[in-house]
Amino acid sequence: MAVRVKNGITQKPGDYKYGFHVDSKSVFTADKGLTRDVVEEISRQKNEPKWMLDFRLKSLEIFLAKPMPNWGSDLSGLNLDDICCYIKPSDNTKRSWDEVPQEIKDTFDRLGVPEAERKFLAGSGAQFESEIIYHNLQESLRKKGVIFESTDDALRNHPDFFRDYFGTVVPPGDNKFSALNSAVWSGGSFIYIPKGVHVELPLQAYFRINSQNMGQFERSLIIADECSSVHYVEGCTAPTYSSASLHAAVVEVIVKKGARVQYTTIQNWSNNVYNLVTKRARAFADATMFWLDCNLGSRLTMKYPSVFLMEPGAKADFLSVAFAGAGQHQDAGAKAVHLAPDTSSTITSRSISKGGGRTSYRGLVRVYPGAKGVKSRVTCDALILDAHSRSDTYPVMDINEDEVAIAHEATVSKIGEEQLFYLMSRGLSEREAATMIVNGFIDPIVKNLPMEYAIEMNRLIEMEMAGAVG
Amino acid sequence: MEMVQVKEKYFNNESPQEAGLLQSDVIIARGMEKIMIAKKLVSSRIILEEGARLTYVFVGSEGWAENAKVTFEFTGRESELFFFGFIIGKGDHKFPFETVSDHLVPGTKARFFVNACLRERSVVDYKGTIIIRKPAQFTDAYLTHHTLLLSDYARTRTIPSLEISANDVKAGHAASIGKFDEEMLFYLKSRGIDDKTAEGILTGAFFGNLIAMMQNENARKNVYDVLSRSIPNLFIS
Repeated sequence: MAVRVKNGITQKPGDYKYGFHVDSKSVFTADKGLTRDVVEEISRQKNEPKWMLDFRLKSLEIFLAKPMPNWGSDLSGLNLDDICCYIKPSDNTKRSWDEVPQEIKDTFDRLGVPEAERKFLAGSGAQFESEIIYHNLQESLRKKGVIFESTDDALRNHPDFFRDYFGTVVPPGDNKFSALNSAVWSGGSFIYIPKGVHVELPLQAYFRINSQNMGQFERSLIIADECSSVHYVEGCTAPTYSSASLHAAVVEVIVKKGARVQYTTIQNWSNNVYNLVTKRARAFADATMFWLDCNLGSRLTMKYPSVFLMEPGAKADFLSVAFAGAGQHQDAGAKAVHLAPDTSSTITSRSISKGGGRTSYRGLVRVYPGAKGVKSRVTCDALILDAHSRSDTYPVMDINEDEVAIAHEATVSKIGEEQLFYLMSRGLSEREAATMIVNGFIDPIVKNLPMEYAIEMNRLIEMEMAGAVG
Repeated sequence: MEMVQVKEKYFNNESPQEAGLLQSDVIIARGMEKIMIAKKLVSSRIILEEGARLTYVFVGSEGWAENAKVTFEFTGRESELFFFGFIIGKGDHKFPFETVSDHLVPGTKARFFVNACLRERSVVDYKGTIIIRKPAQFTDAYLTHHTLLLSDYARTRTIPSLEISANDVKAGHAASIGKFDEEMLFYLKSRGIDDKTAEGILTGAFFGNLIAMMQNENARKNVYDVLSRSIPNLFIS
């Protein structure tokens, strides 16, 4: 694929604030489509050990053998042969922001990434196209043994440790897109928190697709050792193009005994991105896994973060908010699989559809025989803001044990006339009132975000709500 | 199928085949009020015309093998459906069924209440879907499915789905799965009531809520007869 060389940033007009792109020179760009040669070339570029190449090639076979999913949403707009699976933007991962190539730096400066790191993060990483171009972690945490690297670096630096965990939570054969990711994965974060270490400030990774027809396949692996805790935040944006891009990530999280992991996603891809992500965690005794999932962008998102509750006392929390505007379909949800007694899960989902958008909640609560004392509570509420939009709820409860307490509740409604009337009688305009009600609707989720993100989230909702009423 | 078959009217006087109707299709004609009582569910389609009111009562104590799909189509305004499901599972009973509430026109109402009490190796597999199409504004639809699981081997699978394409509607569902509330059992036992009787009282309360919602005396009696035959010590106040 030819790379256009033109200086400066191009921004298309429109509401989407992150729709600009830069013209960047890549070091290496793989051929379009997905073949054995492409996979071998990626592995060669990365200088990987033999086992990883074998893993990739085996995954490629699984990918080619599996049919496209026929449930969920329409994937016909996605042409995998037209997608470039690997673009290497720079030679290696930089520790210092100054070493990052200028045009990439400009991109992330505009997104506010380095500024955020200085202000309120313990460490941050930035992925541009296929590679993590920048990674940094507070010195004090590095000394305590915390590892926060790009997944590629981790494979080089800790090969044995890496191999013990890689692909154990999400095997390549899990679904078509996890197989695709396993074949061509590149970038993503590798986090290891040693026993008893608490990382007080969030770690952040920022994912940016810049090129057209690009496939980003980051692969993250988080291991929280016994009694440790960490909060990982990821943000994603891309320029607005007319043709489709693909983001198919795999995220694996291992939460060992007594540990706590919070994984926060602020997904704000542009409206041409197909976001097909597999996220799964295993939680061991007394561990807590907390998925906080905000889906605002993308054309289609199909993402169901899941937790396998492996040992007694494990706990899974899911909070998810989805906003679908014109031409968008947010098919999101959560899965809690209870394999051990005395485990619990709470799923709270809020979705808003507007201007012809469609939101779907697709969830699963499964209790295996013998998992006595399981508690699970699911609430999903949906707001439909106009007559063209659609909202679906598809929860599955598969309960094979009697000593359990499972509850599920879902409602779909529009903005309450009485609430609107009350606020307007207090002097707010209809739009202000509606925005306030929508912000109140998603408040239980937003208040769990770090402060800076919560403010940003409220602002995004305000922006999305412009022109929603009246 | 032990249910009242009503075939008062087909669309536009077409023959049943031309209208795409199956043998098991039932039409509740304009303005009619009907009560149907079934002891087993079979796949069927029920059409509710303008102003039709249907109370569909299903009392299952035996089970069946094939998945049964009952579709309710709301083709007339102001039509109303109350679906009551009582399931008493024992032995190897299986209850695989599906209800679809398909709202095509504005201003219709549907209520689904399914309560199941499962013992031994009985299994319920229930998919309850509510579809509200774009023109069907002012629809009011709600579905509940509560399950008492009273044995280590009893199983339930429940998928209460919503597909909503209109905005000015009320739609929701709720489901719960569990055993008897320990505190309630304890309360009754502390009043000198033995285990068996206490369970009868709590099971009675579990189903009694639904029975109380049925307005038709005959339907209430019918349900009560089946329940008291299948559940020892049943006590419904």
